[in-house]
Amino acid sequence: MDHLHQAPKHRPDRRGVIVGGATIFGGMWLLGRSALARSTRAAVEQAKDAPPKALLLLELSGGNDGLSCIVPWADDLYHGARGRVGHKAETVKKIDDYRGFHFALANMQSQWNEGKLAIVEGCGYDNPNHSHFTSQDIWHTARHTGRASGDGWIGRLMAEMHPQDKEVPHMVHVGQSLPYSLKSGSHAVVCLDQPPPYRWAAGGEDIAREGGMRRPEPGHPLEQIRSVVRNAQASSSAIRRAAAEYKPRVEYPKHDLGQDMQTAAALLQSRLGVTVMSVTHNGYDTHANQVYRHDKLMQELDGALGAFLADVRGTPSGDNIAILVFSEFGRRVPDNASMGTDHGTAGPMFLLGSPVKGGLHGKHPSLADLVDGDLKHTTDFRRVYASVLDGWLGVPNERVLGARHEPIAGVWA
Amino acid sequence: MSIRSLSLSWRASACLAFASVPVLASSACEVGAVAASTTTSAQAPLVEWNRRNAEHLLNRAAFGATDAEVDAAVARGMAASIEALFPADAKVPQPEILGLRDLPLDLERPETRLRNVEGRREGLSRLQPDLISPLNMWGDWWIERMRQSEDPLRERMTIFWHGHFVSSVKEVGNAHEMIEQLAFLRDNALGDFETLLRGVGRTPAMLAYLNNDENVKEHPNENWARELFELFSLGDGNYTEDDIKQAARAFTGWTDKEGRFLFDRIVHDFGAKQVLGRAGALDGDMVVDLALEQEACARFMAAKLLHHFEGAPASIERVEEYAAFLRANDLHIGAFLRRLFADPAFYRDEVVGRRVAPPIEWLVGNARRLDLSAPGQMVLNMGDVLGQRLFWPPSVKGWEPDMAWITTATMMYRSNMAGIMLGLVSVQGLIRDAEFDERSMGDEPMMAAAKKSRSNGLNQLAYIQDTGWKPELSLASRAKAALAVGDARLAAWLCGELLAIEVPLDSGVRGSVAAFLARERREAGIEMETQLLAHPEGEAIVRRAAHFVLSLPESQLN
Repeated sequence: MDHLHQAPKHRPDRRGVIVGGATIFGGMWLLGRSALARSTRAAVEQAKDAPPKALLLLELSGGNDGLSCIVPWADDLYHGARGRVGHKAETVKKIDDYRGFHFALANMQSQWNEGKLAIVEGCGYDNPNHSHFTSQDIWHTARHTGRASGDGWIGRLMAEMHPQDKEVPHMVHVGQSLPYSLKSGSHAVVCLDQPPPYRWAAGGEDIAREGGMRRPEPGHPLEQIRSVVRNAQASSSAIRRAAAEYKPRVEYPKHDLGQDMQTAAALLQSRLGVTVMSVTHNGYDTHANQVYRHDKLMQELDGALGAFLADVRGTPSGDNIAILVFSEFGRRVPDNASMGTDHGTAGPMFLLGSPVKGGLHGKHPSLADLVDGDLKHTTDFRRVYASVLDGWLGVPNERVLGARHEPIAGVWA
Repeated sequence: MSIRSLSLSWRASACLAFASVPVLASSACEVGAVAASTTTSAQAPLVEWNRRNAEHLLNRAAFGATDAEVDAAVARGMAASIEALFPADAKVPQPEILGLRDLPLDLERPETRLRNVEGRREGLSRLQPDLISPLNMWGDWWIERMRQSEDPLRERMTIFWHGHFVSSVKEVGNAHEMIEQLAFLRDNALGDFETLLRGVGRTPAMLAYLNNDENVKEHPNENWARELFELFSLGDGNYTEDDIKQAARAFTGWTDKEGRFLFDRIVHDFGAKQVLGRAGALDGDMVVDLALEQEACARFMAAKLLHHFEGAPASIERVEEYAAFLRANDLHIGAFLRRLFADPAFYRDEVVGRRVAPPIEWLVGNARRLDLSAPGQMVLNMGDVLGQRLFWPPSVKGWEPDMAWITTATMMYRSNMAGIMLGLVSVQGLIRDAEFDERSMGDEPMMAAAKKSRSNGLNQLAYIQDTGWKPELSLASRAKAALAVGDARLAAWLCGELLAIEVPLDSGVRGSVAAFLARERREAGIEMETQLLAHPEGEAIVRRAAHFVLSLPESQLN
């Protein structure tokens, strides 16, 4: 438990946030809205000096083709295997004499040039599973046993970081359905697709107060639903206010990911108490028509990331956001005849944001040494999680990951 | 031998049940019931057929029931209530929309099913009205069937199969093909699994959704082969990566032409393959046979069906018991369900009233219990808001069940959707968020524009409301007819009528509804409890109380 006692030393103003937050979210449904406003102001006052460290988790869902994202443009084996969906060397934005960015990743490239993008190549795990859902479970729990191992890794992280204030929405997902990484048996999770309709109409909030307050019935699903209702009620007004009052400094792209990233920026900088924000970019399962589809995804990803970073950089809380980008697997090295690629294995992970020190980490998997057409991973993805846990959030990674993983060194500024 | 003859008797009873002579039909039903019960009777104490159990059956096998319908099911008896879920129509009623089947297919094809890369996606938005309108017609018809047909189990199972054998119009890009696939699933919803598994891979929607229409001998596409094993028949862990690669070869050449399945010999790989331990020049149908023969297949489907109908993963023993039954009955889904509905374990406390109602079930159930004729488009768009957009499953795995339906946002939205159904909530107001909008829209138009960009069911619902739709409800007169007079009795009536589960008297739920009624009544200046229902404000107050009930956590379970 040492790190818990040390935590206030590392983050001297964190305690104020926790106390304020606990008052808000534990007590609002008892105290009423005006009390909430007072508590919020109090929390904001107390936390003004040192915003807490935060993580934005961006999942590329469906299996991002790492080879089309960070392209090994100088590798003949790449061009040989990707006759249909490969990128010609001249279109790639060169990183060095082997690899380069997909041509749509202009913002990623400028982050790289500024030393603010860490690329970890060849990320995966032993005995790779080619099922989207099994592999996502492995990434979401950081365990090979997936959901059978219990909460998601972020859920477990919250139990370590915030053992007391379980009602504060430390975890927020922007999107319609909650990824399993945020699954927690003990801590509040907020999930919303867009802020304005995130409320009860026609007196529903009073009803919710009734519905959330009944006597406990351990093990009954009603108990879980009531807890969700309480979290909903405690977060509704604060989240809409934070989004409505937010003044983005740049225009975000109009597509879903762009809008979700704007919401994420608003909430992360709002002092709601968010430690981990989660956003999903869907559509990466490019079995067919990959060129068009993946190009569009890269363009969306780059636009949304670029807007977010330009928006938050330089604000006290914005400079305390690290972004982690991941996908459940990469894709098969040889393309298929329908201009696509099938499920594969290893792929790159990305860390971005002010706290990040740019650089190339891990090791690019060899295209000459494939297993049944798949890349061999060079870096266990949990080492990147470990870097985030140890190096950024200050939680010894074994407490969350179950076993000690060697963090990737040199990714923090 | 015995397996074969049992399945034959099933087939025979099904055929007889389709005969138009009533005597024959009823005796055939008895045969079916006996055949089912002989396999369970060893460990089966009888199910006490009361209101609790009758409502449970109608919650899980149909779309919920009003008090009167529960009473009728109790009076009818258990065997007859189960039998009524398998109406003996020789022909599954077909929607008028399927008249479209007779239209020349080319009408839709050149625009919406462009072969080039952009066409799939761009064509979708460019031609949205053309694409969506047949699906809207089908959706209207389908929701109405859910709300008031005599064959609700079939409609439920069609939703189940839609979430199992997933295709999404987003990728398929063709309403006609989606409707054909749904009609196929519906025709066979209660039949044998083999027909479903073999047939769905031939539907043009599936061929497009999992790209098998582009699976050719040189560089096969594995998408269909993988999901066939992983999600449609066996489950992860019951095949190898090599099985998938080889199976993908076996399905090369399965494609479609002008809306019909076509086996294209030119691109088929006739070479030797090895799949699931069998070697030879296997083709797609042989691979389907091999999947069906696996022990894992019956286990996988038994687990999924039990989970769906019982609302939680079943024990290993229970899965094995039902898997053995499936194997012994040629993987017949109707037989499986008859057995399940007659199984005392289906009525145990851990199962009854503890399942999170998926959005479409919840919405249709509310419409039924309120006796509300909600337009199909309204229910479909509400389903979208709540996370279950029919025709657009979120992934090839379909919809996540149970608590995945319940998030902080969907708990608010469920309450708001109930409010719309009751005529109490304005969708425009929801989208605008009057409380905070003024501030942000005044000096920051960028944010206001941003809010509108995400397409969603709310905008569609606002449109439906803008056309002047209002619920036609008379809750007050229904309450009066049920003699639900006085705050406490009215509260009890609302809970009984509108909740799918029984709330214990001591839970405080009815008390809080009664207190709500009393408060509303006094605010309206109605002093006497007995005057509420006849008062001009009575209907509005009862509706607000109904909104209260439908917003409760208890309302989300069935």
